[in-house]
This record gives sequence, structure tokens and C-alpha cells, in this order.
Amino acid sequence: MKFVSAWVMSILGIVIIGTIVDLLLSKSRLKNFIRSIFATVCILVIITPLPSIVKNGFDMDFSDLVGDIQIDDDFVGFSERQKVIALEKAIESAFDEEGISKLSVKADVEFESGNFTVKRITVDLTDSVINENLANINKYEFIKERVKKFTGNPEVEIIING
Amino acid sequence: MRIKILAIIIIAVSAVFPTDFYEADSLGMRRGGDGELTTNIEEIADKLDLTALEEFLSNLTEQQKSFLGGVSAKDFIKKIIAGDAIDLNSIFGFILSALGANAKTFLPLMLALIAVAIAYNVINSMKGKFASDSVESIVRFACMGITLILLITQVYFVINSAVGMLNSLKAQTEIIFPILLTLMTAIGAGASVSVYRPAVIVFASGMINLITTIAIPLFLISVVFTAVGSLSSGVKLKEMSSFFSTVSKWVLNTSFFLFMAFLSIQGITASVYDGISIRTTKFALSKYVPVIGGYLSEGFNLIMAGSVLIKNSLGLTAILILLFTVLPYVIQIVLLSLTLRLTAAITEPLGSSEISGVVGGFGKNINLLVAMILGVGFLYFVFILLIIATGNLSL
Repeated sequence: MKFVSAWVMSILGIVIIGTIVDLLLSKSRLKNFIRSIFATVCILVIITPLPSIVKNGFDMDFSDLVGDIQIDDDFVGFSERQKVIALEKAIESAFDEEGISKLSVKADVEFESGNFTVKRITVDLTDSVINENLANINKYEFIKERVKKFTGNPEVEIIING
Repeated sequence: MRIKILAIIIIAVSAVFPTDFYEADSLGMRRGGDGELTTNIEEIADKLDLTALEEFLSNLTEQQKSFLGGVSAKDFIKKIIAGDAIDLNSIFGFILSALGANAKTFLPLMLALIAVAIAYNVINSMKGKFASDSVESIVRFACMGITLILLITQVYFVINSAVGMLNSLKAQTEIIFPILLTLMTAIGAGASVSVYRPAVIVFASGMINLITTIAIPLFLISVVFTAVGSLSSGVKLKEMSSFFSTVSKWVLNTSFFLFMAFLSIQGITASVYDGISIRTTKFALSKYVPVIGGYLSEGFNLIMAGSVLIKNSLGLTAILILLFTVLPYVIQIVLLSLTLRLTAAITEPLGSSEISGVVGGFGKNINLLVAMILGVGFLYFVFILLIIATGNLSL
């Protein structure tokens, strides 16, 4: 914008000089003549930038543009972790209703544009308590079958410890 | 006409988004998990990186800090969620103190302009007795020169303040929006984030730069031409001034309209898309995952409710910060405009129509600066409002 301020200052200069000269001269034909000369010079100064604008166009300085808006990946990861914890708690609660309590579930989940896919479920039976109604069943097969049902994903990888 | 368009936009935005900042009670009651929700909010607020916002708030004046109750951003957000953050008395106090401070600043300017007009009038009345026409011309030139120096100094000071305010708004945008977009990503509003992300860059860099590098210089040129034109009886620059003023208005109106149209249409479409996709996911969870779907859906709702509440209260904090950033400058410029118009009204009966004309002209011209500041503030406000409303549709 330097050229704009220089342009405005030159117009201001011409007008002020013209006014002072106008004040100093007495009423005569010469005064009218000088007044018209200053008016012409003023017009010339006003239209001076036009050819260069037509030739080169505007060159505005937008050098301090913001690059990109950074999303806080740590917080998004924390939020996703909260969802995974909700999933793990939901599976634990469902097993509790089925008759296996105090088991520990860890989920390996893949997030993609808001949705998620359960990849792997690790069930730890170390501290679990199994209802006596389930005493005669194969608990590993039972857990695998239930996890597939709970997650709605028959392809989910299931690891059982303990 | 502009007021009508503005009213239509506000009504349309309000109608599409039933915004409710204080959702904590209703969400908690609906799910019977008030305690869990509060814990969840605490956890999310602690995990959220608000360092840049805290740093920005620490640089505010004491009066502005008191506006936020003198607490940290994190505590203020929690206070908003609890519903006891906004103190109307402090807002009115802030407005009144800004009015008082500016009135004091502009009073000497008004008195100086009236004194110049009286002096010009007294000397003009002596014409024919003690002073010749040449003396009168010189006195007129001197009086107009003093008047214009006083006016341009004041206008330049006001323009500098306005540019500073716009840069502060830019800094706010760069601090607040990444946090809001992070929260939107966390609640799964991906489509809205992809629309708002470039829009933030266009707003912070494009719109604000457009105003500071094109609209304000054009306005300044218009003011300078008004001044120079009134200084000389030989060179008339009134039309040139009017041309630059019109160009400045066109640049302003067109860019605001285009940005607002893009933001409203894209923002509304994306937020509805996000709302539907999140609801579909929740429906799929509860229907197609038969046993744990119910538990999972409730758990997800709780997490999302916490994030949405934080997002909304952060948005409200941003609006309050906007209010005490923009309001003093708007009051300052409006008061300057009113002072100049009052001065023109007072000096007119003295017979100095040239002085009253140029003072009144400046008062009229300066309204364009108010339009610029209010326009940018309004865009920022609507932008925040759209973001506040976006995640709510998914609950």
C-alpha cells in the first residue's frame, strides 16, 4: 500500500501548493490561468497510477496468511479412548448379565471419520467369577461366541487370557 | 434494506438451529447420569489444551478480565456450564465506562472545532471594515487547515485503533477456532469440520486482510480527498472522495455477502449431514448390536454430551470475548461520529458553513468504519453460532 500513500500525498501536496499560490496571487487573468494549470497537474497526478494498474493489476500483500488450522490430535485420541472405554465397559456389563462377572476386557478399535471398527478384543479371566449355571460349558468358546455377538462383528480377533 | 437482510439471516440461523447453551441439566436429567456427566465434563475440560487461550486472556486489560470474573478460561467454561457466568451488571458497567472515557476524550476536540469556527466567524464579520478579501482567504485557509489537522489526526487515531482491534480479532480466531474444531472432530462432526476449516482461514486471513489492506485504505483515501477538496476552492475532489467511498462499500458488502452465503449454506448442509450420520451410527449401535448396543449408545451419549457442552460454553466464551473486544471500538467511533455531527450542528448557525460542512462530512464518512467493524464482528458471531449449533443436532 506504499504506492497508494505516496499517490495520496502527492495529490495533497499539489492541492496545498496550488491553494497557497492561489492565495498569494491577486485577482487577474494570470490567477485563473495558474489555477487551471494546477487543476490539470492534479488530474495528471490522479490518473498517473492507472496505466500501471491496467498493465500489472493489483499486487496486494497477503504474505501473513494463516497456514492451516491444527486439530489437537492428543485430545481427539483422548476422546476416542473414552469411546473405547465405553465399549469395554459395555462388553463387561453384558458378560455380567450373561453370568460372568469381574472379567477385564480390552478393545483394539480402528476409528475412521467418526465411525469405528472393532479389530481385536482381549478378555482377561484372571479375577473373573463364573455363575454356577455356566459350570458345564466351554467358557472359551462361550466367550468367543458372545464377543462376536456383542460387537456385531464375526471377523473380530479374540484373545482370552487366564 | 440492509437491516431487513440482517434480520432475515438472524431469523434463518435461529430457526434452523435451536441453540441451547445450557444443556447440562436437560441432558443429565434425560439420562439420569448427572454425576457422571459432571465428572466427564471435568475430565474433558482438564484434557483440553487451552494454553493459547489462557495466554490471550492474560494479556487483556484488568477491566476486560473482570468481565470474565477474573478466573481462568477453564474455570470460566465450567462456570458457564453451571449457568452462573454471565453478569449483566458488569456488561452494562463496561459499556458505561467505555462511553464515559470516550466522551471525555472527544470533548476537547469538539471545543477546539467550535473555537476555530467562532474565530473564523469573527474575522469574517470584520471583512470590509478592517480586513480585505485576501486576508479573509488566508484566514479561511488557516482555519480550514487547523480544522482538517484536528479531524484527520482524530480519524487516523480511530483507524489505527480499528486496525488493532481487527488484528486482535484475527488472533482470537486463530486461538478459539482450532479448539472448537478439535471438539467438533471429537464428537464426530467431520463434515462440518471439513467445511469450517478452510472457512476459518478465509475469515482470519482473507476477510480481515481484505478490510485492513483494501477497505480501510480506500476509506482513508476517501477521507483525505474530502479534506483536500474542502481546503481548496480551485480543485474540487468531492466526487473522487465519493468514488473511493463507494468502492470501499462495494468491496465490503460483496465480500461479506459471499462469505456469509458460503458459510451459511455449507455450514447448515454439513451440520445436518453430521447430525444425520451421528444419529445413524447411534441407531445402528442400538439396533444391530443387540446386547451391548443400549449400554454403548448411552456411554457414547455421555461422552458426546460432555464434549458438546464444553464446545458450546467455549463458543459462548468466544462471543463474550468478541463483545468486549469490539464494543469499546464501536462506542468510540459512534461517539466520534456523533461528536462531529453535533459540532457541525453547533457551528452551522455561526455562519461558517464550510467548517460545519467538512466536520459533518467527516462525521458521516466515519460511519463506514463502524460498518466495517460491526460487519466483521457479525461474521465472527454467526460463525461461532453455527459451530455452537452444529453438534447439537446430533444429540
